[in-house]
Amino acid sequence: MISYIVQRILIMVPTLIGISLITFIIIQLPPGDFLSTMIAECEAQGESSCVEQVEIYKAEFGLDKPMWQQYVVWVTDLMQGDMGLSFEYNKPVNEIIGESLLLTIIVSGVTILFTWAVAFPIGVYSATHQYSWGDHGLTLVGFLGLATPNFLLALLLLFLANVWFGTSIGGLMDPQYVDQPWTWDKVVSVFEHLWIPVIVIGTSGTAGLIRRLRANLLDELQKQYVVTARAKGLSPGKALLKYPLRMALNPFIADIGNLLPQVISGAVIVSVVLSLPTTGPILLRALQTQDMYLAGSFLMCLALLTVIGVLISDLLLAVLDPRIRLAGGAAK
Amino acid sequence: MTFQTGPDGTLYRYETKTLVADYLRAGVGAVLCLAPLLLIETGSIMVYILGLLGAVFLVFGGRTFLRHRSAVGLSAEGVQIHGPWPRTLAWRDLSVMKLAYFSTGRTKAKGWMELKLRGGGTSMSFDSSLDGFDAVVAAALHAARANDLALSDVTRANLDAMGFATSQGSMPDDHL
Repeated sequence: MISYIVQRILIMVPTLIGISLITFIIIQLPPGDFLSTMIAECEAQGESSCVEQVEIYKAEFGLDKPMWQQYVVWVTDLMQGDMGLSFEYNKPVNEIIGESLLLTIIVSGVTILFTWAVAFPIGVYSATHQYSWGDHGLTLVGFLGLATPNFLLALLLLFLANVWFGTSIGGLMDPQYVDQPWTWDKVVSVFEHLWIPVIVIGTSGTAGLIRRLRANLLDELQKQYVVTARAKGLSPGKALLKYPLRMALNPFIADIGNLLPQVISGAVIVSVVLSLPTTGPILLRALQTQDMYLAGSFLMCLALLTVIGVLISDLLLAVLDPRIRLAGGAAK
Repeated sequence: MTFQTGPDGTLYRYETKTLVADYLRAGVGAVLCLAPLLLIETGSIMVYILGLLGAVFLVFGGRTFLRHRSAVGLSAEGVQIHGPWPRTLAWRDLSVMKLAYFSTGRTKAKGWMELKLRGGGTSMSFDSSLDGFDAVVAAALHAARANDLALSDVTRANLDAMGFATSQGSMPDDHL
C-alpha cells in the first residue's frame, strides 16, 4: 500500500507544476493588467500618487521582470504559504479568502449533506421499486431538477421566501448582522437564509446523484450473488444494505475528488445571483479585473484541492476494492 | 551477505529494477518535500504537510532498503524473511491472507499485486516484484485452504486473475 501512496503522491508533483504554469500563463494572456488599468484611471483623474504605488508593486513582486521570473517568485511565495497581495482590495490574498471561507464552507457543507440526505433514500427507493409509480414520479422530479437552471430557481425562491416568510432578498444574513461579530441572533439569521442557496445549489446535484445511485444499484441487484443471497433466505433489507448498496457506493467515493474544490469554489453564478458573501463572487471579480495574485492563488487552491480530492478517493478505492480489473493475468 | 535458506533451499529476492525505481522514488520524493522546508518559516502549516509527506518518503526508502537486504525463504512448514528484520510465519498459524492489486496508470494495465499474510503474531507483505511471488502465493493459498480460511471476494478475484482457481458462488468482499 505504501508503494501505491508514494507513487500517487509523486504523480501529483508534475500535475501541480503543470497546473501552476497553465494558471499563470492564462492569467497573463489577456492584454493589459490590473496595474496598467490603475495607471490609466489615475491619469484620467489627474493623480500622480498611483504611479508611485504601481512602481512599488512592480519592485515588490518583480512585475517588471520577464514572465518566467515572475512565475518563479509567485510559486516560491506560494510554497511558503504567501499568496501575494490583491491589488484591487490592497490586502493580502490570505485575508480576503479567509474572511469569506467560513461562510462558503458552511453553505457548501450543508449543501453536500442535503444532497446526500435527499438523494440516498430516493435513489434506493427508485432502484428497489423500478418502474413503479413512485419511481416514475421521482424520476420526473429528478429530470426537472437536472433541467432547471440554478439561477432561475434562485430568483424564484428569493421571491417566494420574501413573499411568504418575509426573508430579506439576497445575502446570507439580515443586513444588520453583516460585518458584525458572531452572535446567536446572527447564527439564526444565517440559518433563515441558508435554505435558499442550499436548495438551489443542491437540486441539480441531488438529481444527478439519484440517477447514478439508481443505475448502480440496479446493476448490483441483478447480479447472481444477490439472487443467491435471497435464495438462501437472507432478509430483503440485509440483502440490499449489506452488499449491493455498499458496492453501488464506489462511484461516490470516486466523486470525492470533485467534492473538495466545490466546497470552496462556492457555486459562482448562484452566489452572484443571491449576493452571497462567499468566495465564488470574489473569484469572478478577480478574473474580471485581472487581479493576478488573487485569481491565480484562488485557481491554484482549487486545483490543489482537486488533486488532493482525487488522491483521497483513489486511496479509499484502493483500500476498499483493490481488485484487478483486467481481462488477462496479473501484471508484474 | 549469506542467508539461511529454507529446508528445500528456496530463496527469493526482489527485482533489482524495481528496487532501483523505489530508491529513486524515495529520494526524489524526500528531496521535493524536505528541501522546501529550508525556505518556509517555522509555524506555517506547509511545514507540517511537507514534513509529513517527507516522512512518508523516508519510511518508503527504509522499507525499500529492508527489501533490498532481505530474501524470502519458502518451505513446506512456512515462509521466512531473512535479513535485517527476520520473521517467520508457519503455515499452520496462517490466519489472514489478502491479495490486492494496485495500479496508478489510467488504464490500470501496469500494476502490481500485494500479498499480505498474518498469523502467529507475525505479519508479512510481498509485492509481485519478488522473484517467485507466484510460488509464495501458491503456498499461501494451499495453507489457507488447509486452515479453512475465508478469503475475501477481492482476494479471490485477484487469485483468479493470477490463474489460481478459487471457489465460486461467494458473497462479495466482507471487509467493505
